[in-house]
Amino acid sequence: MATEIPMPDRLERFLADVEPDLKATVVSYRPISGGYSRITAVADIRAADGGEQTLIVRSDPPGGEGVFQSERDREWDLLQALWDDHTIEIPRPRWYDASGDVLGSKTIIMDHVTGTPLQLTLGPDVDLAGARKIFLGVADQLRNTPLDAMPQVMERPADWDSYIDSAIDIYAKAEQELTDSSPIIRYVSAWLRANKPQPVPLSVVHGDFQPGNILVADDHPPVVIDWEFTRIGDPREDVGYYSGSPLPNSMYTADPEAFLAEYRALTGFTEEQVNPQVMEYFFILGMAELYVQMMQGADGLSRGQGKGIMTTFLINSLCYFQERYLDICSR
Amino acid sequence: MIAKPTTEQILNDCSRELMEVVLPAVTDETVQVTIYMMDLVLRNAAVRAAHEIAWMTEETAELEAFADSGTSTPAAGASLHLDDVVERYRAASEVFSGAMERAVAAGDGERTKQGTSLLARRVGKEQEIMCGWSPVGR
Repeated sequence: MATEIPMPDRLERFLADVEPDLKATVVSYRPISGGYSRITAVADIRAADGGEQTLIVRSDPPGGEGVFQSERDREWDLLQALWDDHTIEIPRPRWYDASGDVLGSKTIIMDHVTGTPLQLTLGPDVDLAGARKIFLGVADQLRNTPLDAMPQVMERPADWDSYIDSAIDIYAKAEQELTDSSPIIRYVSAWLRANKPQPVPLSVVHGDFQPGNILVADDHPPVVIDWEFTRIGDPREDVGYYSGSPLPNSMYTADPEAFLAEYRALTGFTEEQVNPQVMEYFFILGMAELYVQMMQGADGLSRGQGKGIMTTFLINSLCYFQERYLDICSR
Repeated sequence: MIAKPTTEQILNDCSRELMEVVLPAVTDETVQVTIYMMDLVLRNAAVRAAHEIAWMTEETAELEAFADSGTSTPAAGASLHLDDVVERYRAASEVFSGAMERAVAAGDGERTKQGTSLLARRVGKEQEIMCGWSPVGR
């Protein structure tokens, strides 16, 4: 039986291949728990000249075992484009094991950024206005990121209507492919088609826009992480996604009117384009990709293709979101 | 078969053992998280085992009545094996979904409201199965 090569050794070999002059040794390697999609670790390395560096190592789960699927090649192209563009701050993408031959699966390596996830700065007794300003400022940076700077592999929707139809189809098509039938998702899809809001210009959509994915510190601007679900879409998908988030100490729930007024002021959108009902619409639409992947995971289990306990556990999450969706659509 | 303890009781006892005996002996944080997940899944399964055949059978009749599909509630003596009940439930859900889509597309508010009240009952059962779980902590 072949002996598994430890990840620090693999990383050292990879760095020797891609950056031989560095002559790096891996001083420490610590997996970070909590992510639902990728396997992430923090690695400290030391170069031959004594210089030390901390890296983030972000890998596909081996054998495609993760509940959530996304394309690492696409993410790598996107990270490079975002880094070159500079509209929005991201950790510097360094290297990519595109084949996974050395690191065991496709792996992106980027600089570690010191900072606190914005979510951890939110507390019950904290003035949320400052955090809200940061959060919405980043949302506006996303909206202002030039689309022509984005990699060609990112799909460019022909227009707003066709984009929204395709986003609704994420739910509808996934439901059609289930071994089960989901009347709630069928109803939600019909409701989304019947209740389209006023359009706004399409822009970069992060796809998992929540304060846990924004790192803040005194000595640098907010840094945005976790770009695996990024696409070109309606910018209200990101803020709508957050508006319905179950995360505690929500900057939206604390004062929806102030949140939306600030967003309108930043974007120039009207009250018809941005209001609580429109946020609820985009909460459902912005959740589509993640919801569908959870639904497909559960369906896979029913076909005998289980991917571990997380899939079964997340059936609870599906139930939670079904209740939220039905509540919104029934009003 | 030995009917008592029921499946619900057996699964809940496994859950208790997991949390009281296995979890304290585990130091690896990622494995601890897995154990918490397994505990919830066991408790989910316990609630389902206790009620799912009755819940699906009751709802199947309601869904078919709404859709006026011409199919009927299974006659007395119809199979209560879980796979058969699930298939009848799936078929009823499918005809109900079609009826609801037509109601929404036609702007028929009254019929849509009737349909959503049925869906609300389905969601209520799902909430019972969730055993108080909340997604906070992601």
